[in-house]
Amino acid sequence: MLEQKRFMETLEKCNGALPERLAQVFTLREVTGLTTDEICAELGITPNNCNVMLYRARMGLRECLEKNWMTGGRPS
Amino acid sequence: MISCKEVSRLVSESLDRPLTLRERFWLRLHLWRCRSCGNFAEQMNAMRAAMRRLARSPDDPPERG
Repeated sequence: MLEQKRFMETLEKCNGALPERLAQVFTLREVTGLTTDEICAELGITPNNCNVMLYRARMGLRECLEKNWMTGGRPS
Repeated sequence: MISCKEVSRLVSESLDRPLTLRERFWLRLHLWRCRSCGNFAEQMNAMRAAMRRLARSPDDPPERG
């Protein structure tokens, strides 16, 4: 449970550490729950661009989580 | 066979749009043979679930029964 809480904190921090535009698109998708079509309309970007940004956000988050949680976070 | 890089992109897009039959076919075939991409797909799903949890309750305790 504690482990999960720390994971969530790290996730939040990592999301905040993404480039602003990526974090914005990712948050609209995963937290607000907009569809990519809605995000495109909202931000005036193409679906392809939106997919690429979501992809980059996920890759960035994964990297950040790996660095800050999966390795560094374990009690030794 | 498609590359691991392409697979990672498809895994991500599968969270945002329905994949075509052809994409699904190549994705499944690759995931069946490639353990590390399988792990990657699991991580992406876990990340989505975690973001949902964040969205529901930033700091609150889990809902009481």
